Amino acid sequence: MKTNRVITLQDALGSPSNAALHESRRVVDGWFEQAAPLIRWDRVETPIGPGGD
Amino acid sequence: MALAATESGLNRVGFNQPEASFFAQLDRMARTERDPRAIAEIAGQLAEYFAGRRTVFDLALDWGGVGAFQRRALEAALSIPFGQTFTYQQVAQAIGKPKSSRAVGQAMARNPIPVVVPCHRVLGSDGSLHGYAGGLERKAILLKLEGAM
Repeated sequence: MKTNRVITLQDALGSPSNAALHESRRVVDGWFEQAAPLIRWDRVETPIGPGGD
Repeated sequence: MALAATESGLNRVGFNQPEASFFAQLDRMARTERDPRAIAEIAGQLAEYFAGRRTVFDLALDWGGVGAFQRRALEAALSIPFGQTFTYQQVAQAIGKPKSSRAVGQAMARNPIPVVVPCHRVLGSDGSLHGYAGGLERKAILLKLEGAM
């Protein structure tokens, strides 16, 4: 009897090495620090109540 | 009240919501940094408004995350003077979509910059307050503060 098995990327390629994962995360973190937009925020008290508590 | 601004201007005003909920509304591809000095001008104008010393905000707005229709509706709300009210139907007519009063109502209910973009000045055709993201009680407080109720 045939079974349909889903081949995942992990099945086909194997898991990346820890070194590759570390490098990938380093690149993403670097982009985030240098290129991602910055949102500045704060909380203030008003008669209609606080927010972001 | 929580305030968030990008380099382009005020992007989100939140109140009566958990911190996680407020941050979930912000651009997830952006860094966030608590910075009272960067928000001081916005906070100052809001303080003047709540103290009855300001009727018009002079702030740059960042419409990021707001769709075209909603932006048109909210910009129409921006043109409603302090202390005056329009109906959803009137706003729909003002933006050239006279059959879209319900969509205008939804646009107001999802206003990401309440108070500064005065969606509280938009009422039902019968004068009822209808929905307000911050709760009808707060909508009433704002209208009373402006002498519109």
